Amino acid sequence: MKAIVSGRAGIAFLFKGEDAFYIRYPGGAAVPCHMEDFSFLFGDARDLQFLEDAAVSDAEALLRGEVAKAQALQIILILLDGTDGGYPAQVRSSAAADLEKSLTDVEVEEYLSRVLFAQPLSQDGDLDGAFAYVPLTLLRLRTLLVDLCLHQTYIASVCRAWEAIPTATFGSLRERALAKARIVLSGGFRDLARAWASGSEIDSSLPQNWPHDLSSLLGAWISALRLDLENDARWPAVLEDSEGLEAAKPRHISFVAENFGDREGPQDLDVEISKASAQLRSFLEQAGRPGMAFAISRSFQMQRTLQKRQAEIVRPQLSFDLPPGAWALLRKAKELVHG
Amino acid sequence: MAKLADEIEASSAEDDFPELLLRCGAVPEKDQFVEVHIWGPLSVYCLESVLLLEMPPWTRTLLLAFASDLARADVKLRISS
Repeated sequence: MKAIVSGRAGIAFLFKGEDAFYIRYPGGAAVPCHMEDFSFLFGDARDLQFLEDAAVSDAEALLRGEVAKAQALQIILILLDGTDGGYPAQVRSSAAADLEKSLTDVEVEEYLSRVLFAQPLSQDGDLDGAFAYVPLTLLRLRTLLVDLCLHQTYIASVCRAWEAIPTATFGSLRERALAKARIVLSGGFRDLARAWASGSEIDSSLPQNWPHDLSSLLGAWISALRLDLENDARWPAVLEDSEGLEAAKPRHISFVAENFGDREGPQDLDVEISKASAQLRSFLEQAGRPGMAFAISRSFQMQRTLQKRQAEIVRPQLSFDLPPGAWALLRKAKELVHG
Repeated sequence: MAKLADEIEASSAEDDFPELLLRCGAVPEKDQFVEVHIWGPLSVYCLESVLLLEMPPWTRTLLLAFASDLARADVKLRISS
């Protein structure tokens, strides 16, 4: 028997030949139906999963898992929604508590990170507001949000690179959309954003779950990503002076790194990081790269947020520096200048 | 009206109408309903009230968010007792 399952619709549709029936989440009797009922049952749901040679119990198990993922995604979007001030406090607090429970399921956690890393947050996205509803005890959710927060710049870069791949590479717009859906669900966008952020060399062997039949796309994507980097890193001659580059690294950062601990309070940290951020931004603006200045300054703010969040959790494990991805930008810029 | 004329009486109350408009049969062929085609956009602002005949299999958060969405659009939410 074959089965088609959608977590969004909460339906498992099973059929063999002309015989068909469906099961609606959270369980219950199998209801006989016709093949023609398919569109009525699934509506506009696009999260379809297909099973071959499936027993009813297989379809039911898949349905439970898919509903858990779909609901978790819906709930985290509710938590992050800042439209018109966002949902009421009661809803967002409830969302945070629900999500912490959902994230104990490894498959749900994996699914959320794969999907959320595939697109930068929209202007209505309210990460800072969301943190207000995530107390320290909700560690799984807090970790996911911090991770998301820190990677926004890199997610945007990876998405720009994806959009820069010519549609002809895919064949058609439809095939392009299908490829994107498959790569998102395989974690390709997330893995690339993380590699980019970590400053590690990005190569074609990177993604672990990459769909094999789409392997030729990866090279084009990485090339576009490198081009995106270069477009944002055509630096003026000031970077030919390596001492100038080194000077851009604010002394305040090492000061804080060496001295922050039990002796320094969070307020001191805030001041020092602000100084460092302003200094670097000023340098970059003088270097004629206001866009780059903004990007790195933003990364800096994200790093600062992380440090503050971590400081609330585990103070001794703090370390301070620019995000590795930001330094990768600077290094790359220097290479470009030096040819 | 022609289809439901026999079932609407002077004593019929407003609360009886949803049941007249949609009744699920044991199999889809036995469903009874009035099919309406809407040409043009339909949004939450077109609704006056929503009646939940049974609780959907949602978490508390999803129910709260649903109620909040309706309240923002000034739509009443009723749950069948």
